[in-house]
Amino acid sequence: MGGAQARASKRFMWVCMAPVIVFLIVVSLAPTIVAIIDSLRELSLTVFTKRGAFIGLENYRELLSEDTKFFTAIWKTVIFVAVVVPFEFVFGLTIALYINHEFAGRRLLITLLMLPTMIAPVVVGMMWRYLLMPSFGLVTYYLQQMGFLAETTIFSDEVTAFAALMIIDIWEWTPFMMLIMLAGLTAMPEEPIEAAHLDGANAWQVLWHVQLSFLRPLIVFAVMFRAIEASKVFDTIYILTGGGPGNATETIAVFAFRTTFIKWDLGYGAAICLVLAFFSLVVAALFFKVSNRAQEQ
Amino acid sequence: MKRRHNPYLWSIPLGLLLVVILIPYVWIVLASLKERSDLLTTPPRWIFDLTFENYRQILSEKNFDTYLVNSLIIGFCSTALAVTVGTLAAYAFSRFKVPAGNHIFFYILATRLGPPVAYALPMYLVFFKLGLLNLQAGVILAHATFNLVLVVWMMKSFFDDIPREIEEAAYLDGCSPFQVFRMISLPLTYPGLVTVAIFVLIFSWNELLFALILSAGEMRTLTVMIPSLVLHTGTLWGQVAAASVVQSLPVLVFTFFIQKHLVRGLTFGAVKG
Amino acid sequence: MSGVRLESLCKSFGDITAVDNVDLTVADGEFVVLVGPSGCGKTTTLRMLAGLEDCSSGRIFIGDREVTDVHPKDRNIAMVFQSYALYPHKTVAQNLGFALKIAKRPRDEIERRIRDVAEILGIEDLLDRKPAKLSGGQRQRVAVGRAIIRNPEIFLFDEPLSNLDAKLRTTTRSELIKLHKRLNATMVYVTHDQVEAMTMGDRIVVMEGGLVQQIGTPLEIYDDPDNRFVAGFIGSPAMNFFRAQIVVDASGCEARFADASLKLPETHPSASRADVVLGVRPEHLVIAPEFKTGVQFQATIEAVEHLGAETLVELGLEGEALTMRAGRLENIAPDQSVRVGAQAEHVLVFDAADGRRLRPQNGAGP
Repeated sequence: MGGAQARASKRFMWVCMAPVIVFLIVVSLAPTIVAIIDSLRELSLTVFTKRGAFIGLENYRELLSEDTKFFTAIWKTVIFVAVVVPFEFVFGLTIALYINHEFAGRRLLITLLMLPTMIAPVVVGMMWRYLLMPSFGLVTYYLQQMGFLAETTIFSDEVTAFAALMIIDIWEWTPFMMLIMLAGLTAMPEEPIEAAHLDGANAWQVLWHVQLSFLRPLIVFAVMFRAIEASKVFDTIYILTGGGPGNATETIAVFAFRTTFIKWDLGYGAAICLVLAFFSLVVAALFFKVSNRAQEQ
Repeated sequence: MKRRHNPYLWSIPLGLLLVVILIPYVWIVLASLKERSDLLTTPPRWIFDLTFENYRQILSEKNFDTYLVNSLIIGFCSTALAVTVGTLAAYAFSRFKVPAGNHIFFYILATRLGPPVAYALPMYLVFFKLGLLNLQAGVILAHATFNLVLVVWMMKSFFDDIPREIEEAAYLDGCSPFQVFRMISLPLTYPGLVTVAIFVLIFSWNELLFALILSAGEMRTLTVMIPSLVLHTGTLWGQVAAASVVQSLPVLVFTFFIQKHLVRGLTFGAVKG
Repeated sequence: MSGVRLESLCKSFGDITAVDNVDLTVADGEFVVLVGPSGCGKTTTLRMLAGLEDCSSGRIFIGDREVTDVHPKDRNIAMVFQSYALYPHKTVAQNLGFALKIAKRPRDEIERRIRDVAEILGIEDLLDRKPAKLSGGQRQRVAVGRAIIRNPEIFLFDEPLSNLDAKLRTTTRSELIKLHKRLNATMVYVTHDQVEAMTMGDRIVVMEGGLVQQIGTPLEIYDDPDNRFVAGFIGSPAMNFFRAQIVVDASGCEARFADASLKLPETHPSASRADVVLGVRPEHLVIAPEFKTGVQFQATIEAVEHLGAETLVELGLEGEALTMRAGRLENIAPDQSVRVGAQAEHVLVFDAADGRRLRPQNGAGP
């Protein structure tokens, strides 16, 4: 038996949920269904004979068994994530520990430190493109003067191009890690630290046994969050190398974009997107668990 | 930790850090104020004659104002849409037992966690068929979608913070559920709502991929316009710099004001800062 | 104004029964207090009456109107919450006037009624403040004001004094009593504090385990409790209990504990039992009794607390602690062994198994 109150609440609940449900159907569910259908068709704008014909799972078969570029892109993405995230974490944590106390101008300092994360990735990309220009770039010039860099172009060499993109990503996202770690450290009570000091622990032992173990759920969350975000890296690569030279810096997002919108193979692109979307569902399920745990803290 | 610091010694590494973080941006700001001849020099020029020529040029020659207006329209419309839809859903998630609520929420979360490309193409296929590509509508819908989880997650936590008894008192004062929401709960979250809206606005304003794929020609945004200044004949660095500064300065100002909530916003609400 | 009637009201949350078959009639203009330990179902009962909680079964009437299935906003009920639940974003005046605004009363009427209520409660100076800027006592007044401004049929109070300090609680208590007299309104008041219950209620409803244990005026409940729970819950310090054996022989029926024995009428229902529990209130125990009826036993003084006007004595009897309350006693000290007794009419008899009160069948005596 539901009272009048329960019925009125239920009615209003549906009023609240209706827009989001309609919205998700229109912008998310319907496009996904269209994409599923299109992924079963030949929709390459460079193929004229069979355009629009249903070819079954051919796109998926080709992607998952023949397309070496797809697997290369996954591999590049894994390397990218595996390099940048640990650096961002260590740097971010170090900075957070360093400024984890009250001082004048803290708010302004944090705002300034957050600059790389807050400005548009497009601007980050253009900025570094200017800084790393052959000969004329500010960074290139001083590196050459100091003898760190030969007279080459950073973005024409496969290794230096990829390394540069990683360094830029670290520059861009270390402040984000710092901010999360700072939030965790601020939320941490003082007493356990003081107790550990009284128990004779030195600074390193306090850091390791008290602070980091307190932060552990948050660290797991932050590393995972950044790993997910880093695996989607697109804007800076699009601006700086476009995936090149060749496909040396072609991460998975760039690969999907190039295949779809440069080569205009929409059916194949749809297949790629759905495979990626499926992966992200799995990742989201994992993330859901971890973030719930971090929130409980 | 309350250890005594020598403030001067302590601030040296901090100063170095600030240099590393700020120099690239300072350099682009300086570039925006340089004459063409001062832009590409060896060694790089720190002292030069100031000029606002670059700003004048992007405004007068490059239809900069059109793109600016596009970015603003898309930003404000997608924010209004995401905040309206998301706040209502957040209230339902916070106050009522939504059937399959976890699944719906998970679905919203998944749209933000996957690579945008994976969601942009399906949208492209639909919007292409509906002829929305030459309107701002496509990008507005896309930006609203991927910011939805931020709105839902953050607003839910703000609603959760309101004691139930306050709503119950309003019921007894004669309110219907809608009146309780409209006159009591929603106004209590206004400060949070403003913060959330600023985040959504910034994310939309900064976004490239959806804007790149789902808009064309006159409908493009600032973030799409800036890379288009890279021409085959050479890049117009002065104008790139000027456009970049105009694009990023408002973001930095807003960042200062929402700093308290940055952690929540940047993790789209998952971590309470 | 009108009364309230609850008929076989039940509420369960999953497997837990919070309110079990409650019947209660509150007369028009009556002040009824629901009292019991936390988790006894008193607040759930009140919330069902308010319509904030659905009933699992049973019916609720306000006046002659059944409201079991009526939305809270249509019940014409006002409630003062434990946390006060003031609207933080509204000023005191807006808090007071909100219900009238929702009811679309004309603006000048709203303003007039806000002024009237503020005057009654002495909060005229606070009307422009937000709740965050008020003291606990001021918030409490605003919460009460928000209830009375609407002129509701029924007032509900959910532990409205528990967030106040001890002194303020006493004064606010008497103010609420005066307010009740002045408004002559029907009020249902929930508390866990038996002092509040005794001092405020026209009638008290004692609840425990979701069940109504006893309904009566404060003195009825105090003097004539229906069971051991009510006897022990109402009254401070609490009633003393003794486990006693029933011996029936030629001379009649006796309840025996330690070296004491209590003569019971042969018709007394305890005659058919092996043992019972005897209860005596602390103020009914006396040292060196001069009377011959009732019970007497030898006990040791464990501790003496001088409160000034009266003295509390803690007594030890076969490892059990008893409390005695007497006028000022100066010549006693711990470790003395004393003779203690109570008059027969002050000894209550309870069933040892279910705690039910065992009253003599003819209605006289203990």
